[in-house]
Amino acid sequence: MTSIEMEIRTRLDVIFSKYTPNTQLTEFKEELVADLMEAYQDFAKQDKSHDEALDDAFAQLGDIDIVLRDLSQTAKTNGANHDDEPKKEPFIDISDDGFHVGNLHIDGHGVRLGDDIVIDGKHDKVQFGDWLHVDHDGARVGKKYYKFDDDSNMNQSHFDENEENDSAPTWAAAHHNAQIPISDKQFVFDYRDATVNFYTNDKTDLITVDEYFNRDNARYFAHIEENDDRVLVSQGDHPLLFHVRTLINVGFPKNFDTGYITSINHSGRVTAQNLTLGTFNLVIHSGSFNGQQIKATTAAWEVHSGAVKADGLTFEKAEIFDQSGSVKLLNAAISHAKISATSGSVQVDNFVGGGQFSANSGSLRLRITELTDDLKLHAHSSSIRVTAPATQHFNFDLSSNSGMVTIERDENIHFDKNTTNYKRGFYGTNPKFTIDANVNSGTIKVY
Amino acid sequence: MAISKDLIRGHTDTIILNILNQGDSYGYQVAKSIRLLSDQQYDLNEATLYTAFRRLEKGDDITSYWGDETQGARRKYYKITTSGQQHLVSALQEWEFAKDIISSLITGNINEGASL
Repeated sequence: MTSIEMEIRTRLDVIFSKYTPNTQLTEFKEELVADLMEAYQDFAKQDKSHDEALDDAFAQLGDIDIVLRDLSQTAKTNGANHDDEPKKEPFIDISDDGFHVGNLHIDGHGVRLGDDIVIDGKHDKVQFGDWLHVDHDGARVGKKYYKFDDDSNMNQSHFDENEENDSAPTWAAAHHNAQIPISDKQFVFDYRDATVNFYTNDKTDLITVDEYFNRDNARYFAHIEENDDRVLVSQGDHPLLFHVRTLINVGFPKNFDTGYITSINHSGRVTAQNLTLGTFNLVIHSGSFNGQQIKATTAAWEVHSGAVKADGLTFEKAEIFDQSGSVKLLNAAISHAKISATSGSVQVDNFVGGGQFSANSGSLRLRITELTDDLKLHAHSSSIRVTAPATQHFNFDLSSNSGMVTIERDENIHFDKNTTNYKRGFYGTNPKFTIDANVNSGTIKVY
Repeated sequence: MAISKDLIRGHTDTIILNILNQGDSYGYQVAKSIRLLSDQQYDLNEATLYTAFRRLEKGDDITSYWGDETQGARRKYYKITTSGQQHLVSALQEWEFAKDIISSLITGNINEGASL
């Protein structure tokens, strides 16, 4: 057994310990061991530390307590008339085959006490609780373990999405096209109920608006108004009694890096790809946002109900707020970020920058490639897990009101304060930025 | 865009049956197949997956057996049964029948229908 498997088993033991053991639970545990080992191998490709990959593997399980409760109850109902003793297996069995008492087995294969002590010349191991584990491959006492060769290959998993943005959908009964010359005014796209896609067109100085409807009625076409400081594109008439399927494709010229864009959508999803703009603001009441390759000086996104998912963001300053939905960013370079989710989780992979991140009831998971400023993290009732930059030095100030705080650094680490739920100090010799994290009732882990 | 749980919930079993109909598989691999088939748009966590496995196994739509991995932990493989395959076929027929109707119900407009 490898040390990984041992650690997975130890952690599962803790999760399973709340339930009275039965065959189904034991089998399920075996199943999970295999799954988690594979998940661990997958995460080890991108995570830099052992513990980190292990935590990620467990995080992807979801709420298995539901399954465990179910399995332990099934056994209870089935065995209702048998009380404590299972009838099929005798409690004591001494025969030529060996000696069996409860879960102690001594036979031709060796000696076994449940899954804790095994001496059979092949899978020899001894374990007590979750603090001592010894087998051929190594030993683990408390939190200390001895590692083995784990090979890791590079293989990035990511989310790819290809959306056709400039072709008419099959259901379209009407198409309305408008072209607006670019200027330094603010362009506001205000839709009540539509799918809106932003992309880069092939024009040099025109914004193109293509609207598609599944009913042909000119009243549905957008109104465009202009005043001294803004151009407002607002959705045309919208019948109250029935739904008009509406798709809007908005194209910006390639080098519109002074563009000031605000998109408001009450209901419907918004996507954006390959954009270079000055300001890109979004307000979505009910619908998700999906973005790819977006560059802007500033961005302010407010999503009330729906997820935010984006890959390839370059912003100097960005504020992302999601009230009811999770925020998942990949490859984000944001010098001054302010990202928060009220009821969803926040996950940022390959982050370069600094700023504030908070989650009220979901978890906060950051993988930081480089810090260019201080980082302030807050979670109310869940955990914070941060992968600090591999080579950069940093200060840290980590506190939890009721959970554990851990920082995974063995060398070059200095603590001003080091208790179970508060750790302050610095890593390396020349720390420039600070990772400040605070949770009310969860744990904090820095890898 | 994320598929809402409410929208997909009724199809979880069919999704799993479709995957197992293409070959025996184990929990983590099924979860990965779901991610792949949905083009990374849908993530079914293992808790939900295992709940569905139990349900399908109880209904005799799938069976399971332990693999004979020589190293590492043993995997439990799930296999679709003949009855599971029948259920998959009828679920597909139901879906083919329902999808256009649901689509016209949620996007169609009354005026065109009323003129009939």
